[in-house]
Amino acid sequence: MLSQKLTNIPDMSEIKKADFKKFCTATILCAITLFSGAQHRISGYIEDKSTSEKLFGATVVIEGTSQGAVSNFHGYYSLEVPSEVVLVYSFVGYEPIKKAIHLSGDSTLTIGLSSSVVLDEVVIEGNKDERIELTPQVSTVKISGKQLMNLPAIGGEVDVLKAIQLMPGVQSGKEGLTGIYVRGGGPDQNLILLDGVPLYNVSHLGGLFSVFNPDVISDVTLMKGGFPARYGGRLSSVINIKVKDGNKVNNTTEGTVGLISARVMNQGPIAGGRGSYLIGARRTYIDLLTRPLSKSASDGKSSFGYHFHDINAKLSYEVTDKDKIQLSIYQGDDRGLAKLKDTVDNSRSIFAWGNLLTTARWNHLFSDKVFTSLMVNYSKYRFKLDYEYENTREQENESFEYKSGIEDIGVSYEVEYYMNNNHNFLGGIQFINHFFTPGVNRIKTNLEGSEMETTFGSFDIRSTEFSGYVEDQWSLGSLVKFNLGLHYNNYQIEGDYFHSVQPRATARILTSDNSSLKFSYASMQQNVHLLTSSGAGLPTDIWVPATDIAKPQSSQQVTIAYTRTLDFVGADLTIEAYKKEMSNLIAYAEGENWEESAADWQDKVESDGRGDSKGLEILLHRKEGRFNGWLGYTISKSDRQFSSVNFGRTFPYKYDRRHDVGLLASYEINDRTDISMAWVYGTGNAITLGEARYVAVLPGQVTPQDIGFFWGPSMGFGPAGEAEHYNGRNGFRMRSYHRADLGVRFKKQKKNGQRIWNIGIYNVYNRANPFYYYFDETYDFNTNETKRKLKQVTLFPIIPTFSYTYKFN
Amino acid sequence: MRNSTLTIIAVAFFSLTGCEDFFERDVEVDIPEHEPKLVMYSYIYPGDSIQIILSNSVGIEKSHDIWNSWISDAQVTVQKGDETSVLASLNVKDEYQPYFVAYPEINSGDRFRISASVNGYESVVAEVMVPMEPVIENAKFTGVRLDEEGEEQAGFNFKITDEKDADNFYEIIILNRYSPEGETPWFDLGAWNYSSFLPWMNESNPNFSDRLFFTDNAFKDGEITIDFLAGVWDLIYGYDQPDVELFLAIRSVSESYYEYVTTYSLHQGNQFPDLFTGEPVPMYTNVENGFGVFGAFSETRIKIDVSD
Repeated sequence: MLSQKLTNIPDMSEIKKADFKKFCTATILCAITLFSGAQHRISGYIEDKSTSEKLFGATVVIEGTSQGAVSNFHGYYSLEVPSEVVLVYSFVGYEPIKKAIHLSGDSTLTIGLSSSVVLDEVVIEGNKDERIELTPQVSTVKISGKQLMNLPAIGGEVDVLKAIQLMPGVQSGKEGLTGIYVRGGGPDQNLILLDGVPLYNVSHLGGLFSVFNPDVISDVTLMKGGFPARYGGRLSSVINIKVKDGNKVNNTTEGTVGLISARVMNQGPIAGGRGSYLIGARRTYIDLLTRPLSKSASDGKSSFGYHFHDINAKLSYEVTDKDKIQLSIYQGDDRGLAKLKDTVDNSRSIFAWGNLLTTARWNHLFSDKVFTSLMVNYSKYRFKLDYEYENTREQENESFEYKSGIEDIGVSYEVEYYMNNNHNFLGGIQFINHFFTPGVNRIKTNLEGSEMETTFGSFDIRSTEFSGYVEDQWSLGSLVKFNLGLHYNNYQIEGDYFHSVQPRATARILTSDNSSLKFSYASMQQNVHLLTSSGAGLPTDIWVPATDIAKPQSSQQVTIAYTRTLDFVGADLTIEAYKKEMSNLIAYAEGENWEESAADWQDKVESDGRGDSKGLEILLHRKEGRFNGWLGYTISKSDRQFSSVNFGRTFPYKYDRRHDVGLLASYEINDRTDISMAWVYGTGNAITLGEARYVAVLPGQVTPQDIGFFWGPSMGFGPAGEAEHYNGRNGFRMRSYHRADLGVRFKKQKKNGQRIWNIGIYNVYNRANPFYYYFDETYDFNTNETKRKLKQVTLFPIIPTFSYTYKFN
Repeated sequence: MRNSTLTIIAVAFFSLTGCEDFFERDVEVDIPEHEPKLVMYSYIYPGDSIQIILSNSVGIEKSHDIWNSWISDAQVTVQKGDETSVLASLNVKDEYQPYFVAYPEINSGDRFRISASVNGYESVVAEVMVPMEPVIENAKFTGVRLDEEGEEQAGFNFKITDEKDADNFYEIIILNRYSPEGETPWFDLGAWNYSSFLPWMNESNPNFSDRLFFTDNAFKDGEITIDFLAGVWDLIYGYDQPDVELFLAIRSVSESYYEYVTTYSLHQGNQFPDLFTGEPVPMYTNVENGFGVFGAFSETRIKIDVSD
């Protein structure tokens, strides 16, 4: 048998000498091409031609091959190319550039791309962006600042988190709120990075707006799985938001006035174009209306005001061709004030929450192969509730203050090593010092002549975190590409140490010229928890550290994806299936919430939670052209289980959503007008609702024998009351959620700049979506019956919105 | 100019329509029809008969009918261990709050099973074992002390020995025994509230002060001296009632008894989801196919000397 098989193998002696010569020559030529000095390195930056804004995620490809590079977060790329080569530089929303290059040695080349001119629909616009089937990333979606500004505006504001909520696998939580729930994860499990630094609270006005001023955003990247090793600290997603560096060419100013807020942004070059600055500010003016209105309605006895603001500032400067420094600041606050005043009693309530974030970064090129970035950052989030009361007649007063928050000081260093076109290495280290204030209560009273002051709660808890990571983007031939990495984390709190090694891997296999299969595995650990009463992402949610009792959360996620570029419609199709398991989740113990006072938050929590989430997502995404947008669909299931909640039984996650659809379509009618439309549909949220009632009878502390007779069932046994029956935790579904928004933009070039009218309609068909359910009881005097009906509170009916923007030349 | 006018009109129109019914619209939501279930209660202890109360659950939208839901036309049987079931008889003396009664001998360590059948309902069944009497000693009044709120309370302590190889649940009760001349003595509640500095007292709900519960987790199979505070008026304010004696009653209660009472204290305060507060707490039951509880306890009482 063996000999029979061997006879089928061609004998080398039978190969003609001429063929052998050809084979050897070809092999040697290939080897020379790949390994000899004929390969040169070209590196540089890819930027916006009009502003010199560095473009993150732009691609450079050797024409006719699948070989290329993607610009990093700072717009830098580095690639090995032959001496004679044609390079194609491209980025979504920009005209691609072909560059024929003759190299005699390593060279640097910074390329400026121009914003694309919309082409007729008959023109197929493939190959403009990096083709989705080529990239090894899975579960990753990039939204450019340009596409973001095409979204329908709500209250005159385009919102980045609202846009992300339209993506498959991302649920929006409650009506109107910016809570992000990715693949069954909680709102705390999203690593939301502003220029690389985590933000802890990203919502204004209870979540109706995010803290991200759309004017200053360069682009947004959402990762739902397949996380590269460089990211850590959260289980469910990475939302990477890049702030514009500022215009290095011209000084520009733009301002927008909307229904409830106004914003202004100014940017321009400094030091003769070696650097740039950007300043953006936004403020609501609801308080300017509500304060005088509430005063006049109450004859001056009460007033209520609320506002929020955001300030972004960024300074970039190229010290040398190889050194660049950046300083950036974000500060944003929400503040509400209610005052009541009469002849005797005065009271004042203040609630406030907000973030402060500062970053200093130094990017240095050691060589065209080695890009490094050193970053120092400070961030702070705090929530505060203040109440003061005074009785002027009795000379009595009392005050209550509640505070919670978290502060981080971090330093990180990252090195990118572009070894060759088959291996790009990235490694880094990061150190973070966390300072937690889970909740402090201060009560001070002076009542009936006696004074009392007490402070209790949890505060000044410090923890440290060290992370190291390494990843390799590895091309194995033209068909297979990997991103392999390891993320190590060491977390320390009050003498307890937690180590974790988190392997990460993604693999891409090309299945045809325009399709690929992708696989990913990611193990993640999270050292902070968010204690939330409602899961709605409200400021009353409390950030707490992982401890020996509430151990760090961890997850494992696998994803299988099929991607295809549909050239005939110029769109990308992605179909992904995922499964995610989470452990050490925490939740308030039954009956507990943030209002209940306790010396230690750990006394109020269950910390052995497990989560299980699985689903299938489909995304059709057209990034460019006169008609662009996306359509996403998700079918998913997400459960939770705690040993002491719901009697240990598994229950649906509050934001488990079986079906979810997100549609965004934008059409540019002409140079002056474009329209956009968004539609969302989601299965109703899961809530715990009483479905029945019955008499509850407790055992008596005295028995019938003690009192000498039996009083009757309820009295004899003990006190009686009413009990409700729930069909398990989160066993009831609210009505499904759906809504359509429309937006129209009218642009016109004026003498000194461009004006834009942005007119929109939120909830076009006036759908009454559920925000909250309650039982309404009415007594019928005719029948002497009490009627009880389940009713819903709806937040937003049809709402027209508008804003006016002027961009000065 | 024409464009500007049209724009202003459009904005004004949309603004006006958007303001109507801004925050709340009257949308009624249908909830699934509730199929009523039997609700059964019984708490048994050595030396007494078994009394069983039956009622039915009602849909949440009809819950005003709840106090008319007592059931008297049921067949209720009681089984002790492996003995033959006996039929519980209806107590006809109280038609407003009817109950069923059976008279098997109840001792610590006995296991009982109750089942009830009513036309139109799924039959229910529940089981319980009567716990052993708790072993306590050295119960004494330790003086008037301040609780966490700064209020004066009567302090007590006692030593308890845990029953081995079992998960045990305990309840602390202060009782007054009244012995007026010429009348049969009787017991009544001796304290209006309870608290303790021990973190595992009323562990599931530290704010629950009507009753005081603990498990043996902190002293499994061993013994411990327990301090607690109780609102005993006579001791706090120094009233002298010669015909009143103070007793400490420690109950060893079944798990079902413990779970039902402690869960109910949480359930009462959390019956509906709220944006800013916690989730509803579901009620415990050990009644198969229905609601309610079948609980049991054994009790040890010690007179407390308060003469000092």
